[in-house]
Amino acid sequence: MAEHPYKSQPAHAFWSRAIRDTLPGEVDPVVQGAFTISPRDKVATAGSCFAQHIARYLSASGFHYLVTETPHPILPAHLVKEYDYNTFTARYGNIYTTGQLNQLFDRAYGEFAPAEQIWRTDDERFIDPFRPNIQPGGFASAQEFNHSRDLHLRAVREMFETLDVFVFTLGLTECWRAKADGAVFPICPGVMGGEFDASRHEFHNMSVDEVVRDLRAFWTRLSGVNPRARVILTVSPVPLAATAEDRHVLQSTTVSKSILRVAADQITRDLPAFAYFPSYEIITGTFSRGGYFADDCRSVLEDGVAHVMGLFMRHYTDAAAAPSPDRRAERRRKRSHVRTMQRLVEVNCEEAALDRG
Amino acid sequence: MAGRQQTVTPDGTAHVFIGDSHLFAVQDALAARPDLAGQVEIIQLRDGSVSPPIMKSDTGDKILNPLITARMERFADRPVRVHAAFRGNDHNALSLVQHARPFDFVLEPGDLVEIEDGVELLPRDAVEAALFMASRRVFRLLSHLSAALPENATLDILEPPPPVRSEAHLRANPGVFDAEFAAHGIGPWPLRLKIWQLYCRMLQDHAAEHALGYVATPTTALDGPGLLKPGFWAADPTHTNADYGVHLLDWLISADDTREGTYG
Repeated sequence: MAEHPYKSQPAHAFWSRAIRDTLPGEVDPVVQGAFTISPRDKVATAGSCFAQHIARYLSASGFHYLVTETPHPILPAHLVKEYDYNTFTARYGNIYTTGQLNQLFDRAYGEFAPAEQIWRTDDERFIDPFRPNIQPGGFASAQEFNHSRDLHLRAVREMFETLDVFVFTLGLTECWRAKADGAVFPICPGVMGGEFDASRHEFHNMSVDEVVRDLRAFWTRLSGVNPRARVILTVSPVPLAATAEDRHVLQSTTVSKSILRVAADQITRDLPAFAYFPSYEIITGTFSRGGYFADDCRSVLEDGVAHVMGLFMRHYTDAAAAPSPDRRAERRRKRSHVRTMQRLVEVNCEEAALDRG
Repeated sequence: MAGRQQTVTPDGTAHVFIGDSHLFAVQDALAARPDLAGQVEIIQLRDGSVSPPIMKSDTGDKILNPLITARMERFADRPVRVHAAFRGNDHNALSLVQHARPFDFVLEPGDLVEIEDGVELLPRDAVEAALFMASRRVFRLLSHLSAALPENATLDILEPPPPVRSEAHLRANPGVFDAEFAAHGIGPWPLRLKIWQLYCRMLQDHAAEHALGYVATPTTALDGPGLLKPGFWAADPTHTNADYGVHLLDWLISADDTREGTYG
């Protein structure tokens, strides 16, 4: 038998052994993590909605999930999620494109001031065009809006400067931007606030080269403020909700995800600080026969998320070293002022009764 | 004790007060005004006589305690105005003591708040949500009271008294807040005033939405910015004294329904 390069390839390089002969739940396309996240490492997340799962699992597993923009303790617990706190490290909402990511960085450091900074609603509320979902109904006043944005951008700077690992989920290549200065919006103006104006807004679909260029530019920025940072890229397996191209949404999904996947491959080959985690492959791989998607063929089911995060924790963390999370203690700490005051107010009213004999 | 010894309820209307500790000032006032006894009823929720105010009916529905209904029905032969003063200190839970993470908010969209370093400007909606969470029992009580109101009665919400401006008075009369004042300081009066105003607006909105009346604090009890005048401060940080009760009683009973801005 002639020798050839495949002879020395490990089992995971062969479809038959890695997929066909492996139970779906045990398919492991990660093979080996590029590095190990310790419980002391501060992990920040951003990207499309799929990145939220990483935050959820890390914080639930006792790892140091970095949150630099925390809700004020008086905010009722049931509104914390609605106000988009703790979804990501800071309150930036979904960052679907690399263009958005770089502009967030530049806005945080005063390097970019978009011309279109505020969307006003018919009832005189104020929406942030770059995070339109973080404040239900928008802000009631311009001062609230400006103060919240300033706090937010400060939290973004803190994140970039203090994180050890940045997990970024690439979501889309299609985007809408301002013609005047190229400001990239997370969503088309007019869909969730603002007003679409064809003379001011334009559609753009990013190429592989653009995504790679953006990621390089991002690394220049990030390493400039935090040289020890490492980046884990993932590609969101969630298909496009809609395409602005003149073609079927399935084609656009394939093109978009392919561009992102190729760009991720290129950048991780070129930059040692970048690693790729194959959540896209785990969810969309044929081995699961579409079983990780809900009936809408778009939403990812919890089983799929568990498969992804199980492999993430196995290959990228030292799970055995992680302390038990004590979220109840944390919640108690955060709520203590209001609870203490409510109790004292109650006692005060009772004492007013007792004082009367 | 101040207060005019006037003829009361000239139209024969009876007044039923129901609520918590803020009604002690009215109770004290009433003790000094025996002429009102036949026309005023006070249902004090803190004395245990009608506890719990909301209970389960035989069918499992939550209803107003029938003992409360019975006391409202005492004046079946004349018009009745029911004045609800439920709780009324929940706003103090947010603002009486300086929060470890100091905050402020914009009450009116056009206002400009001066923000000191280290103070967080919260969205008004967030503060309102926090206030609603702290005071949601008030709105439940109002709903149950509305549903059980006798046919000859109307219901209005009695505005809780405004905050005391003087830090010196609060420090001299800290009550149970002594340790918290010492540890964290007293909330700045402009914030305490705004939180109270926001809470009052929530009550006004509830009144408007449910076709209830709203009794604002007598303007004669307010200082320039709208805080409680010194003569009405009690010897604790959140309540009013008997003089305020007299003042309120006179104000309510002598009030002409058309008097602008006072009787909603």
